[in-house]
Amino acid sequence: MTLATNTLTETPTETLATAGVSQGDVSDFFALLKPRVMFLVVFTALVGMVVVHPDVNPVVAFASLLMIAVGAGASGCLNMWWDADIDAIMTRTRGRPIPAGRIAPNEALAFGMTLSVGSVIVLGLVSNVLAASLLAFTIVFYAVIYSMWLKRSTPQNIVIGGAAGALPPIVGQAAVAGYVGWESIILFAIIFIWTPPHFWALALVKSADYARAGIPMMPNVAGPDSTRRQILAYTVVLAPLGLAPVAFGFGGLAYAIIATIGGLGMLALAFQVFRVRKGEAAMRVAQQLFAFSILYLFLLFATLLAEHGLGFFRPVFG
Amino acid sequence: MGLGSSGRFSVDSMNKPLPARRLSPEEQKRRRKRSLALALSLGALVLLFYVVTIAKLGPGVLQRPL
Repeated sequence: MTLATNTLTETPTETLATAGVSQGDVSDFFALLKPRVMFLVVFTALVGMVVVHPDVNPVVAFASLLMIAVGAGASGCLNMWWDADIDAIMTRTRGRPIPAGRIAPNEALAFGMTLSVGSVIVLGLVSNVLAASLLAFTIVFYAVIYSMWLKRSTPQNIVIGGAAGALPPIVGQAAVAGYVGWESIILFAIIFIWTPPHFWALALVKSADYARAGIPMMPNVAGPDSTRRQILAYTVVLAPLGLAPVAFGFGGLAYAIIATIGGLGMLALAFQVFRVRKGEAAMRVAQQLFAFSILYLFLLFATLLAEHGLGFFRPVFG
Repeated sequence: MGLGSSGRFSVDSMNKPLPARRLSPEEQKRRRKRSLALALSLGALVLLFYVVTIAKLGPGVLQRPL
């Protein structure tokens, strides 16, 4: 089946033949929720929750986390609905349910909208209005501001759009504490500054793919050399920022060690990306930075989770 | 299939019911799985609302003025 497009007039005949009969499997609908992104959202939101040691019923915390996960999945679904045309062009995304023809665009839109509205309402009922408003803002920011506007119009797309991916710790803290504190704002800042070097490392490797799809990623607009400089600049900010939880007292000794080693690793790889600019080696170091950046962020948050959730916290000062 | 000669939908053609079509065994299987997933999700949601209600209100949920 060919790509089922968003416009009524261009709907392929084959889709019409099966109109009213969904072709999607349960796994296709689950894939629309971007499970890997959802895991990252749940993970970072959970850390946002535990660092404040909230006096909240675990059932309420679990239900809040579940709704944050559903909200994140819903925004991923709306993103796939909107981006189905460019997903069909890029090798990395052409197997997704909509461009592959397994799910019709309207099904995805209905699915995403239902989950968006439902997750926000239930989060508001389970926790509080602040958390629900922040979740709604996150969904709108990702689906509308990032997907519909920034992604196809500016090379700063993932810089500004990165705010959507950085918000879950703030939503998590608001859900269990009822306020937004310094802890979650620092976690937001870490993810926000981490996003450009992470995605631009991937964009360096997949620049041809992005160019074919017409997405103005930084390597395609400003060139690979400028992108490498910016990756290094963001990483120079990220490495010390990763230690901010220690300075603010909610990152313990283990976190300080992990953040220092991880930050140095990020700096070393970003410098390698900056230095090695030609051939296979350049692609290899960019891939290494991309992979290591995921490990780095995971370790930072996992250490905070272990320190606060499992009682491993040992203060660095005093 | 509801398309006019220009290849576009007309209002009349959109209002006509789609011709019935027998589902293939594979489509029936997928539909069963979707229905089951939907039922399980709704059941989980009911359970979640019940547990959260008890957690938020505690035993007080049963103590209300008549």
